[in-house]
Amino acid sequence: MTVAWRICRRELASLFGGSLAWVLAAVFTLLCGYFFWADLAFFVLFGGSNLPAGLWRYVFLDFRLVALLVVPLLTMRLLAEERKLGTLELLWTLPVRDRDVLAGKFAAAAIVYVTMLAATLAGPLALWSLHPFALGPVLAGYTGMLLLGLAFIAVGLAASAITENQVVAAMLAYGVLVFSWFATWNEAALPDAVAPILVFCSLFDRFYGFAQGVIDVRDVTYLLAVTVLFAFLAHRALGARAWRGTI
Amino acid sequence: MRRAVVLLVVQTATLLAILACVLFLAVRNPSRLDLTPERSFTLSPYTRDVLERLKAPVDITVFYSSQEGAIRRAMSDLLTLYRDASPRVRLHMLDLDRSPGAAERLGVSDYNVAVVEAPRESGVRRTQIDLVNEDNVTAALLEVAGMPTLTAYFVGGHGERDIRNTDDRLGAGEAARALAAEGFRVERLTGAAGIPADADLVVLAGATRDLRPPEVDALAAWVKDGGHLLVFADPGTPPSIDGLLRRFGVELGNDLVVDDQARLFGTDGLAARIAYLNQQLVPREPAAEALLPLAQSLRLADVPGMRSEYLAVTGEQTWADVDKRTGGGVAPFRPGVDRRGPLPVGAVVTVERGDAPPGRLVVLGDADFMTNLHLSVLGNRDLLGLLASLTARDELVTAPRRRPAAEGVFSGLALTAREARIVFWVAVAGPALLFALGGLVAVRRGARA
Repeated sequence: MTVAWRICRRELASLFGGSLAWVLAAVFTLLCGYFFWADLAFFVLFGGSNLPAGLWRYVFLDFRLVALLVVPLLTMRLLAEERKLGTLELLWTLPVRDRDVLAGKFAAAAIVYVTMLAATLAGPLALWSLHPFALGPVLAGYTGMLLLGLAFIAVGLAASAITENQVVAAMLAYGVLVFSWFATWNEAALPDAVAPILVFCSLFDRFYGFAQGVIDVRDVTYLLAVTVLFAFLAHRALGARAWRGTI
Repeated sequence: MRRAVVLLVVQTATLLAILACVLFLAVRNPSRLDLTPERSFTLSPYTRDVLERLKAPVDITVFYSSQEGAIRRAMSDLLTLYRDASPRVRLHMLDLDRSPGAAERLGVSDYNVAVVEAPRESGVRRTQIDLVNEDNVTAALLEVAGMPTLTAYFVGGHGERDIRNTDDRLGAGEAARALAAEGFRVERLTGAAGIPADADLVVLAGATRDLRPPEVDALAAWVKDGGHLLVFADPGTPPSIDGLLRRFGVELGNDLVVDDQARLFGTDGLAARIAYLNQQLVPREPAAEALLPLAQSLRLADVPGMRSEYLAVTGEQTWADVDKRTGGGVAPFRPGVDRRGPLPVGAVVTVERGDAPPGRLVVLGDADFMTNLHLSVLGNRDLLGLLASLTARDELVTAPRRRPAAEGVFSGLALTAREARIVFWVAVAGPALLFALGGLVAVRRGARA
């Protein structure tokens, strides 16, 4: 068993041993389920005859917002709490590399997120059992939710790595993610040279294709690139203790 | 400390550069998996065929409103497909409010309008699109790429299929829209005695009443003077039209084509598929066979000064019910009386005029394939575009056209109240309750510990 996997298991036990992961999962599935049901009700009455455009697009755009709400709360404690309790220093005294710590924490958060996401499949599966539909757009939407969630976790992990205050970690993650969302809301306020770059770099704009039933290699690459970038920043934030003289 | 900061900056910059390179490669080699059932985010083969014909750069400039993000995104998504599919397409997305100079230069004053421009020998050719969708953008590209808009007149007044009618079985409004997407300006012409000077194509689609002799003479003279006439003739076509076609060596069979072997589920076996198209005239076979709901065969006779060729033929298993007994159901084939397939159902007649451009007559032994009900069946939309282009243009685009998305306000998903309750409990309450229960158990265990 690798060190990263041991850390992952310890983190999962910690998450599910308390109430946080359960409460977040309950809220996540409740909101996603409600949005799915409400979007379905609207589609049945007024949505037109195109299921991907009339139902799935709205469902996944709503799921995206729930992920934005929940994931920073999931990741805020990953490193910040360890730092506050002093267990991170304890961890550093063991033969454990920073990347193992990060990989374990990231994997634990990803497993919790995937579990929550998988639970939201209950609605589409129930609908499919009653009225079978083409599964392609749903597959694309969940692929996008997975990639977007991994990017959110990486951002949250980086935020959690630079502070010992969980609220600050959550707010930092919200700051980055919400800016990525709001930045392209009013393009008229942006300079011409900046607007296309911000539109391209918006996590939420890159998710839009998945919500419409399309998996585009550019979107996949971008979301993975964001994940790698913030994972790297988290790694460097952990490594900063060396040049601060912590250890 | 300072060295560490420099190292961090260098490392981060290096990673950013690597990620930027990977992204650049992905952007330069766009590839997408369209998982929607109707391939809504993939250009039709027809559009791709048109894009391959572009010989010079084409600029598409869109004027959007920054307050209408969803519309801007839809236009951008669509036009990005064009840009990705052809390096000759250059896309410019401009905020109308922030680009008054460009808007004035291109004569645009409304939001969500696109202008397609291409350089031509006579200067820049420009066309404006008020509704940005694939049909309209492709038609504009066709126009600027060297296939200018042609005017097609549908003759009315004799029971023809009406391009203004939206009725499923009688109307041909969808056909008019399909031709507009092919670069035709479709107009209606009441009576055929006076053919407008700007007519590039005249369509006589399923007349059920006789034309007056002056109308027949006018149509015949028009074709002989280099005009382009497209005739769709259902079984039972009035004698005056039969007489018009005979002047050009086309004899309507006045029979009923039976295609029981290839019958579709739910049809009566009379709908005939076009199995073969003349490869001299249509080098590239359309992707799907057209289906003619009630067709008659035709024959060709030699006429001096005219060159006639069969265009479309049914399959070997088809046969012609010569006295149309099968109206109420398929009757058995009678050897020696009925005729075995393959049966010609389409023909092209070219009227030679020396050095002057020839006149052209194209005849199909069926008209109801182009009704609103049947136009989207199999390859019928492609057949209509092909016949119109073959008649009025010298260049053919045979690739499949996009089928229109199903329309309507109400969804096809009829959920009963009981089913809605099931979905609610399974989707909303079920998972959340399970996780809440798990949380309670975890908390109680923690308290005991």
